[in-house]
Order: sequence, then structure tokens, then C-alpha cells
Amino acid sequence: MILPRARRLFGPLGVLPFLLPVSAAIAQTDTTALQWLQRIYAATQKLSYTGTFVYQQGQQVETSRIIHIVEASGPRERLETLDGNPREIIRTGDEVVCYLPASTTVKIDKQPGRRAFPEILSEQLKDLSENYSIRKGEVERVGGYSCQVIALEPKDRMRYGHRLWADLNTGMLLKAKTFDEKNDVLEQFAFTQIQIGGNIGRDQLKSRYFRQSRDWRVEDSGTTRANLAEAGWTIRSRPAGFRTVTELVRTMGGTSGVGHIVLSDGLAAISVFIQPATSKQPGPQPGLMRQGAINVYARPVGSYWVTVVGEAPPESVKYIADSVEYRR
Amino acid sequence: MDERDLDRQLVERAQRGDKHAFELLVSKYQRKLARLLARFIRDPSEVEDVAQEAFIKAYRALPSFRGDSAFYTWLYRIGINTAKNYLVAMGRRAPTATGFDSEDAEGFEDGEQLRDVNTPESVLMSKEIARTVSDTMEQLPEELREAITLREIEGLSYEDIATIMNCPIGTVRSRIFRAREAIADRLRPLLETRKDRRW
Amino acid sequence: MKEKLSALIDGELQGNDCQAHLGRLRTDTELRRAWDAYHLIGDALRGHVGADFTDRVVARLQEEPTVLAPQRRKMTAAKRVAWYAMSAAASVAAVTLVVLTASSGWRAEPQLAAGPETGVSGPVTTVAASVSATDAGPLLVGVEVENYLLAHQPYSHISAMQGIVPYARTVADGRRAVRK
Repeated sequence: MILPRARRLFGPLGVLPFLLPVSAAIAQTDTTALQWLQRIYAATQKLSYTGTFVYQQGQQVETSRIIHIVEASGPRERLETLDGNPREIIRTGDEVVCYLPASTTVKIDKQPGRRAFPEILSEQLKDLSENYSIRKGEVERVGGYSCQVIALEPKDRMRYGHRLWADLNTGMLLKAKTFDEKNDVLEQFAFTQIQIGGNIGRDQLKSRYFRQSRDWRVEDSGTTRANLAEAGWTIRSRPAGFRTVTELVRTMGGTSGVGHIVLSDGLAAISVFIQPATSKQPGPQPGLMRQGAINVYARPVGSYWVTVVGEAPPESVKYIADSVEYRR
Repeated sequence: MDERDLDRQLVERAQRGDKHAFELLVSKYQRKLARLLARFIRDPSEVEDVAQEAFIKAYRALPSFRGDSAFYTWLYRIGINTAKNYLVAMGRRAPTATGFDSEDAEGFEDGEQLRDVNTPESVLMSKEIARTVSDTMEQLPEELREAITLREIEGLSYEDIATIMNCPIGTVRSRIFRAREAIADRLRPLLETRKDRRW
Repeated sequence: MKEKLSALIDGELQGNDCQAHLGRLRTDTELRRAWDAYHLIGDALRGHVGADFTDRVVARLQEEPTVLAPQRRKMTAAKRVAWYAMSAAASVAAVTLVVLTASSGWRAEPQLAAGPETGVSGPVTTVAASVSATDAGPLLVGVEVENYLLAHQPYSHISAMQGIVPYARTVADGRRAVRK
């Protein structure tokens, strides 16, 4: 990390006047770094691209191909895994279709409340700089592109750190890493090959399983917005900066009426799932589970199960789970 | 199996002595056949008589149906002949409609509101059915309405519909089914007032 | 059941289901009513309204001598080819079973203690450095967990920046819990 070294170089008074703004900014958020984040968000909404990326988490490595085309009606994407378990995801607007050939299932999900680019800016970026130190790093090469490194350092232990590599030219995110408080990499992804812009055929968005899937089982989550507070559910307290983004009700694993609250600090999202415990669906494993950057904590509340899922440290996830209350 | 195979399956079952299979075909094609005959026979109650006659003739002629043409095409010809003979027997001349001997049964023009083929007693019932179907359609969620319209009116396959609606084929199947059930639910009270079938 | 009938009517039901369904139509009243209703709806949408005189035809059919003239089924060349192709495809599919790669999966952590000093450090390095599935702690992989992940992913802003990359995080479907 640059920070300790910089302190040694400049000392407490910042030495050279014209360098003062820079050194003062080191401990806070670098506004141009914030602008870079805006660019990164904008890129996913405005750019069409196709490429191959590798996702790694622990010892697990997975290669996938993605095609992302921005049309007048919004972005459309197709992602498919190239190794390991076959899986294909197609997104059109706020609807996601997931083809799972191994279980001959098609899962359909609507995602209301998933914000498009302009809306993220005003609220969330302000949140971000309150909860993270955001700085520009070096310029490094990723897959043939020169990228600006942006570092997001958490201001407390309730969230993870991130490092982003964004193409200098387009702002496209080409590589990212998530770190724990010991600076160990929890997960990372990187494009190994990418074509930004140019001619990308729409036919590439069609599912490979389109015909095969005609007789597969279709599971539709039937997700709609909901007011869970009205139903009596509150989150008594939450880690700094985590605000409610949306509240939904959905069907999950055969159980309908599952409440879903999404919290976010501007970067990391945490989901709170509330489902009635029935004899058919006894609920998830209580306690903490984790894989890479994701932590899951489940606990019973009355005759319900509360499951919290997030890319945040176990403390955060447990804290939120313990704060969920039901008041009639 | 596709629709043509389905009809052929039913015919083959009927040929092997299963009358119920033939009844399914009657239930399926009765209105289409009646509408066809109404082009040549003015009186709605006569249309119904001739249609019934045509079905019975078709049943008797089953042994000669080899599956070379579609079942409805074959039924269509029997219907035309039955109508012709009926008009002759009544001392009337067959209208010189161009489609009279047409081989192309599928090219028949839908969507025109021809004269009412109902018998007087059930004219109210048919209108009620039509209105219920139309009202329910209007109240359906858009994706259900679109799916069933593309299927029943445009005659598209599930695959084509899935491509148009940009969704999995399984979703198309589900949407069409749900649309049908929603409408059938509203029709149930109407249909139950008719006398039950004799099995 | 009725959903399959709906597909059958549209000529979109595959495989052996069809014969079984046609058989069921004979005896299942509800299915028969659905057959009648669905065809009525289709006709109504196309503007074919009319009296239902099936029962009158049925009455007359009862009096008709039952036709018994089973046709010899001619297997045309085209059909024969299609049949061979189908059986070939089926055997290929049987051979290429997807071999699921072993993965680190999920680990259950001991109950989280109150203070941060005892909290995260140990398990983190264990997970990050783990090599095989036989490492410390029971493996927990569940379809339920995958459902939560699938529902959660879209709302992560990390996801927003990466497109839908983090769907890669979802645990492979269909793998059941291995409890020790």
C-alpha cells in the first residue's frame, strides 16, 4: 500500500507547499479517483464489449465468456462458463435468465431496484467516500490495455478493501481484487482477452440452450417490490454507511413469500432474506458459512429464518443478522 | 409430436376402435367446420345439421383415411361434399364460391365476421362466451396475452414465440398455459350450465 | 398435467409423454374438459364462435357400428432417418456425462466469538490457503445457498462494475451437502 511510504516521505507538515494538496488528499478521498469510479460505472452502461475473463476465489478458478451489448432499450448480456460446471446467464434489462443444464432447470429472476448508472452516482458515491479512502494508484497493463489502478481502503472492519484496474481509454473495468484486513486476496477477476466496442453480433446473445431447454423445469422467482417494514420487519442497527437499497418479496427454492432486503454502502451489498420456516423447507444451516469474499450467516427469528448474505466480513454479516427484528 | 401428428394419432386410435379419440377431434374441429359450411348454407340450424352429418360420414370413412393429408383437409372435403349433396337434395343450387372445391383448407380466411352459425337457443351463450374470452384477454398480464395471441392467432411455434418475446421456450409454454387457464376459469360457470357429455 | 395438455394441443410436447397423455384423456374428466375449453378459447380468439354440438355427435356415434380398421404404419424413409439420428444423439449424451470438478465449496465456521481478535484471522487464511476438500471443517454445499447467491448478486455494486461477472461466484448447482 502506498500510504505508509507516503507519510515517511512527506512528513507531518507536508514539506513542499505545492505538494500539500496531494499529501492532504492521500488520507482522504482523491476526487479524481472518485471521477474514475464514475467512469467505471458509466462504462458498463454505455459500452458494448465481448471477452473472456478468469474468476478466482481460493483454489477455485473459472473461465467465462461474456458478451455485453448496449441497445436503445438498455444493456443485454450473455455470460457462459467455459470450464467446470456449465452455466449460462442472460440478462435483458432487469430480467435475468439462468440456464442450468446439469439440473435441466431454467431460473428466471426479475431485479427491480437494480439501479442504472446515473442513479448510483449521487447517493452512493457520497456514501462511498464516507466509508472508504479512495485513491488513484499506478498505471498498469492488463491484457494488453493500460489501466489506472484505483484503491478503495475500508475505514473500518465492517467491509473489505478493493483494488480496481480501469482501462485508461474507456474506463472499462478489466481487473479487480477484493482484500481482507490482512491484505490477503479473497477473490479476483481479470479479463484475459477483450474487445471493447466494434461490431458485436446480436445473435451472440442467444442462449446456447435455447432449443434444448424447451422441456426443462422453469423456476420463476416472481420477484416484486415489497414493504417489509410494514409487515413488521426492521433492522435495528447496521454497520456505518449501509443503507437500504430496496425491499422485495420473491419465491426461492420452492418457498414463496421470502422477504429480501438489500443493503449497500455504495460498493458492497448485503442481502437479508427472511423466510418462514416450514417442515418442508427447514431452512439453511445456522451459523456462519463463507466462501471467498462472500459470507453467509443464518439464524432463526421466531418461526422464520433470517439469512444474511454479503461480500463483507463475517462481523458485518452477523451484526446485521443479529439486528433483524420482528415487531407485530 | 407436432399438431399434425397429434391429429393422426387420434385418427389411428379411432381406427382401432376408440370412439373417444374421434370425439376429441369433433370437439376440436366442430366450430371450424361449421364456419366453413356457413359460407354455403344460410340457415344456422341447417349448418349444424350438415356439420354433424359430415362428422358421422367422416367416422364411417375412417378406414379409407391413410394419413397422406392432414386430417382437417380430409374432413374439409367430406364437409364440402356433404354440403353439396344437402343443397342438391333441398333443390337449391350451390353458390359459385371460388373456394368451394379448394384443396387448400388452410388458406381459409379467418377473422371475417360471417353470419352467426348458432342455433337460436344458444345464440346468447355463444355471445356470452365470446365476450368473456375477450374481457379476460384484456385483463391478462401483457406477457400472457402476447404469448397466447402469437400462438392462437398468428399460429407461431413456441420456439418462434420465445425468440420474439426474448424468453426461454419453457416460459412460453407456461405463459400460454396460464393464459388458457385464466380464461377457462372464467368460462367454467358458463360451460357448466350446458348439459354434461354422455360418455 | 394440464400444462402438458396445453403443450400437446400446440404440438409442442416431446417424447413418450404424448401417448400417455392421449390415454389419460379418455378417462380423466378434468383433462377432457380442459381439452374442450382450450380449443374453445382458441376458436373464440380466431372469431369462430358457435354452438357446441359435440354431445349430439357423440350421441349419434354411440349408435354407429365401431370402426375397426387399423392402418399399417408406413415408416417413410425420412422418418427412419430421424429415428436413427435420435437414438444416436441419446447414446452420445449418455457417454458425455459432465464430471463435476471437486471444488473447495463452503466451510462452516465455528461460532464467531465476540472480539475481532479471535474472529476472522484464523479461518481466513485457512480458506485462502486450502488445497483440498479434506481440509479442516465440514463442507457445506447446498442448493439453498446457491439460491441466496443468485438472488443477491445483482444488487452488488461490485457486480454493477463488473457487469455480471460475480455470477461466477454461485456454487455449482445440484451439488448436495456433504456433512461430516
